[in-house]
Amino acid sequence: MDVRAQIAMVFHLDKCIGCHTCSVACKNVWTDRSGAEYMWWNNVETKPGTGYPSVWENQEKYNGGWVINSEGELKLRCQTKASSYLKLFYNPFQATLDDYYEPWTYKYEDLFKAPLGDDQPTARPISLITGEPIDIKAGPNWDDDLSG
Amino acid sequence: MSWIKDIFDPQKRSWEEFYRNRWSHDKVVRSTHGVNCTGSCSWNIYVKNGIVVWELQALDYPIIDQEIAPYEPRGCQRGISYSWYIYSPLRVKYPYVRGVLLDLWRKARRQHENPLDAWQSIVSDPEARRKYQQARGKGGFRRSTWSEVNEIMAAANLHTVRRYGPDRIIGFSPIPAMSMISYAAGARFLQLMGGVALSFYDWYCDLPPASPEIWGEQTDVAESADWYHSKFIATVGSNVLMTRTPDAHFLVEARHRGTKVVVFSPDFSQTSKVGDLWIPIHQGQDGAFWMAVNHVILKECHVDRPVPGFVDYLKRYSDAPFLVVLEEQAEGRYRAGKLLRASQVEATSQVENAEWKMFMLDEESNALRMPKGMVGHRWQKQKGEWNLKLEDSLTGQPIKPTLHLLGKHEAILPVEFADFSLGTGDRASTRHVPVRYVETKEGRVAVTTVMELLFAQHGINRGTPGDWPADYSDDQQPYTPGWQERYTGVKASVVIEFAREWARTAEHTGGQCSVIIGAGVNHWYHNNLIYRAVINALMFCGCIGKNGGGLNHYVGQEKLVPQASWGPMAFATDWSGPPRQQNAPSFHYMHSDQWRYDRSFNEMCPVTDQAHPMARGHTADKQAMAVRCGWMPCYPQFDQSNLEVVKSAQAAGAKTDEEIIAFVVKQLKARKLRFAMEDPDHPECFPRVWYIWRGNALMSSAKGHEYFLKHYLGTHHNAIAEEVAKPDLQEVTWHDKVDLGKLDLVVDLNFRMDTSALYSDIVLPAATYYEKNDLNSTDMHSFIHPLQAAVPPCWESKSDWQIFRNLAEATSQMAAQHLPGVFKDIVASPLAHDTPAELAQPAVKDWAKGECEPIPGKTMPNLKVVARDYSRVFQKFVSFGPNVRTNGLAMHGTHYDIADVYDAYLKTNPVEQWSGQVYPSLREDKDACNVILHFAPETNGEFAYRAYESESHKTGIDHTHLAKDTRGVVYTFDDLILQPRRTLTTPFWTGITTGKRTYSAYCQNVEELIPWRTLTGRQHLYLDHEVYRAYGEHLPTYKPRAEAIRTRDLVHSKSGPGSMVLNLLTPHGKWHIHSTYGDTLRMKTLSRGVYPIWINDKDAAALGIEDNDWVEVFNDHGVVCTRSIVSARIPQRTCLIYHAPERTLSVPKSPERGNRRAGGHNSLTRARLKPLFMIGGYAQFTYGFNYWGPQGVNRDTFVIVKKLSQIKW
Repeated sequence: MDVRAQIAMVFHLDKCIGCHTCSVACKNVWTDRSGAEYMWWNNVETKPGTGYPSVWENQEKYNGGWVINSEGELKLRCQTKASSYLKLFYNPFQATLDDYYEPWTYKYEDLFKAPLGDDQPTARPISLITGEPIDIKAGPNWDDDLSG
Repeated sequence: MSWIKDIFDPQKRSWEEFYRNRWSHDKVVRSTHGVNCTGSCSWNIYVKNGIVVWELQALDYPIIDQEIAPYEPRGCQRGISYSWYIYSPLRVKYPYVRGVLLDLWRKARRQHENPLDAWQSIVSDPEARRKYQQARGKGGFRRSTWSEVNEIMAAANLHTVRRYGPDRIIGFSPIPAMSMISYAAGARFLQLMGGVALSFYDWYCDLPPASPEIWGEQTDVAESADWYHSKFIATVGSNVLMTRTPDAHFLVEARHRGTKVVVFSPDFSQTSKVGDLWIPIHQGQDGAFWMAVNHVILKECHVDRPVPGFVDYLKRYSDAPFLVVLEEQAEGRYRAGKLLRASQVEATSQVENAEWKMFMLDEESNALRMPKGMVGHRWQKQKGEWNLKLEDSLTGQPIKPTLHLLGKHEAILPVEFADFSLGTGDRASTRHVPVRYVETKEGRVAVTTVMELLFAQHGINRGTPGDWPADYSDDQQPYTPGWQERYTGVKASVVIEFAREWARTAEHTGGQCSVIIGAGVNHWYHNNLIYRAVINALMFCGCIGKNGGGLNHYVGQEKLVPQASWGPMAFATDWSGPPRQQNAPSFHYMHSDQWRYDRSFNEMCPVTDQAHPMARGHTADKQAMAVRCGWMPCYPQFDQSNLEVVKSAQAAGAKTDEEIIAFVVKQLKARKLRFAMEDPDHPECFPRVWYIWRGNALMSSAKGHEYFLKHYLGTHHNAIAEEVAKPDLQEVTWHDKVDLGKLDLVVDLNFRMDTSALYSDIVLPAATYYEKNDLNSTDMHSFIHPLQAAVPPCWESKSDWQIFRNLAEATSQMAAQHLPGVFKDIVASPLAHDTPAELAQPAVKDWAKGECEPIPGKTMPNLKVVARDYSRVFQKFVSFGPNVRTNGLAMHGTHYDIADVYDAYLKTNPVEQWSGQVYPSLREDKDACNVILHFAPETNGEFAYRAYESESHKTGIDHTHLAKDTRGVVYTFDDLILQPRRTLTTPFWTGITTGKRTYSAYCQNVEELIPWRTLTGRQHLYLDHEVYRAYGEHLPTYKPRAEAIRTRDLVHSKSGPGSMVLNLLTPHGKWHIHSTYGDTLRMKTLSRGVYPIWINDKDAAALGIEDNDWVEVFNDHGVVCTRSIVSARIPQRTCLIYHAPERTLSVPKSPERGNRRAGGHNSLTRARLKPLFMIGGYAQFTYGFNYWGPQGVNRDTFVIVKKLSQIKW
């Protein structure tokens, strides 16, 4: 069988509690290295919310979904098999980092290394892209539990 | 370029090679997480090239019953993130000491040959002491070595022993069940020193006092698989889908089977999704709803159409038929008094323990009957009468108990019933109650049944005169469905429908209604009343002690299953005792000086009878009285060193232990010697050295965190509250000015740099959950799990067991040289639960006021002289001592012998030999695990059998059938590694796991007729202790949650335009287990990168706050600066900060408090004790560590919220 992509999984939504254990399992095993920080191949979304990447359901923005061609076949709207190779290194409709989120970490080491001062040190958030302090405005699960 | 080949030859799928390589690993090791989540999930830890790469859920739980869904997979998003810590920049890799202290130490060490003197030179120099205390929490850590830190700690330990006495060394580590060996490490070391263990379950407010009140039990609940047997589940103050992640599926599956689920939650919680009905009840007001439910149930199922099953249940398993004496008040009205005692009646006044045996009225003869199974039977010489057979204990004749007196009454008397609806204690309804008269030695008294009082209390009008509600909709008289509307915001019709469905389900299923209840209720000041209302709804319908029925309180992982063998190891009673076990709420309230900021407790707690000395005044005075009377512990003990006290006794001529004790009693009576809690701010009474391990004692556990910083640590803080105690104070000594910074040394063992570590003087690198061997048990399921070292401890970290063992060694070596010899210590310990001291005090009397003589173990604490040889601490630490062999093991007063097995164990297991004796070795953590497993009845079937033999002797009923089939079962640590093992049925727990049964609490009591460990041996609807009566809590009642004004959280913090007063709630959250995991990058990324505050959208709009804006949240105790999440899910006028933030992560400075770094959620709380829970020496109201005592409640807290525009780091 020519398995090209897995496009669906079946979940028992009544049993899913949105805990994200599956998200972390996937992250730990497959995308835990530098460059892949923003990647959550498996994520869980709650509604209301814009999702991850943001507004991913917007088929205009991402040129997503399916079309029926003149032969009556179901085809991906964004590309054909052949044109997919041309878009390997640049796809104008692909979500960008801004559509995902700017990954961050914290200056944890400050808690160990801060010299004696007049107040308590705290580990500030910094961007994993620039290394500079970051004002966190988006994340892969930003809208979690906004409505139960 | 194999992936290109894939295009031409896709069948080979060679592109997948990359993934196969990535997935590969060298070994898989079973472990779990020691983290007080109550989950206790079995995990597989994957190791590759000696590195832990990830963890996945173990999938090999044995099936309990094919009918029931399996336990696997267990594990949640937090647990699966744990491996992040091991190699993270947050990992504590080396021993650290704050530079200021390290410089002082090295300098002092150069100047003093004797390390004790070196330590003394630092702590007795006020300037030096202040310098390193004020540096606490301000950075400046320096890496040290194990040998250096061990020397500092040993010197501090021994100097403290020498100067102040051993009980100035204290330790805090929570929840042993989550990693019981690691807990035992420090606890054992401290007890061998003569130090103090601080409790946790009550301090965390996880202890439900209603459980000891009603059942005499700390907590016992069903495992989650038992939910599947339930036909009606109410969740109350518990967000199962968010906080019981691995167990939530049972709730969903039960519903698929047809179980009705009703969710009570003020917010639209995640659990609301599985509710057939979501009831958005006002926070903290659940008690009003359930009191009204009970109004309906009592009326419809016990009066209008009595349900035979319900009535029979109350007769057999509750105190409903017991007789209560009515006490005449002014103007001919009566109040409910004590249960009628055998000692009051001529014919029975001479029976043993007559003051502790009570009566029912026989239905046929109308004569008094004294049934078996009461606390008086439990502790009498003649065994075999402590059971729940409905038989007269004098004649053996069967009893048919009378519940209803109406119709067979001799008179109808007006009785007063307090009504606290308005938050005051002076309102009462008068209702006429049917009574009979009994001739007593004091004359004729009117008695009625508990059941009659319950009818009257709940306003069930059966045609007698009085202030009765007209009908269900009457909103003026408690506790009707109409009355509860204004408190709960829920319509009366909802209550009526709920109550009817509940009762009907219970009737048709034989009691398969259950309640999952949690912190959302238990953290309120009057939580016991809410719980009692809920539990009574279960009891009135015969639902407790049934599979699928009962109260399932899941707050904290308190259930340490193999407790009988673990206890002596953890508290070193295998060598000596008694241990010093301090209830932390009292300790912190007094020693962190939070009492100084508190007024009379009557503001928070309305009572009916302020004339009673325990029912009015300042909580600190009540605490002092509780200590004197032997109700609550007090460590440090006295305002002098215990070693010096003994020396004074000897100098005064005391030779024997008895003479030393007599001297101490005399000194106390003359008030020349006082308890430390009577003068907690005297420097002689300070705790001095504090060990913290496995917990975040200074932040997530620290109710009144800012007071901890101020008074314990002597460093910066953000509290602005005023010291207001003085006018209300009568007994505890007031000092106008106190020394800040009570503690000489704070040591934290940790794998991560959390807030407690950041503020400690010494931080020790502890092994993670994947780097040590340990045991873990829970009440959520009936298996016992190992923790295992998948890799050796990284960097310089060591297991807790190893750290304390090495510290014991360093301390013993130093003692041999600098503090040699045997010292006599005197240990004062409170009257203890499950001992004959449950009969000590039928009435409250204070010897210090001359109301009685001070008699140790009777009217005051027990006193015992204990010898300490500090050079032997290490050898004792690694050897399982001789007392267990001699005395056997016991729990709840039920004993079993182990000598033969102890001797056999020595032949095939590691041993220690010294001074000509051989002992089972505890040198390695795995040795300790195996000793626990081998000697506990839950993991060694032979001991389960022996324990049942012992229990059978007490009850006169043969229970050994419960252990017969598993008598040969013995688990070793290696067995637990192979596959999760189910623990055995024993008399130390109340459920039954034999066969295919799921564990449900109190099944043994109901089926085996084993009494509850209470006054009557039954479940208590009525609490007749005089302090309960003075508080008006002898009957189930309702007291409202505190209004902001009563809490005095906002006296000096002002709200103005752009700010708003909100009720702060701190429920358990989704992205952390308390503070663990919350600082991992995984959890922070999946939430919002900060510990946010959740507020309602309308409140936010009024405040000009948008989603993700920074806000300042403050009150007189402190301040939090964080970002907001704005959601319509949150009810107005409340806000949520999920338990528990760290102030180490992304916390800016607070303009409101002088641009100091803001704090965490506990910066906004304070300890506030309910003195009612301090009573002792009276059946179930007798002290047990983590078992009975006031709690650290925290929900009655108010804050001001406003937008924070400028962020300063």
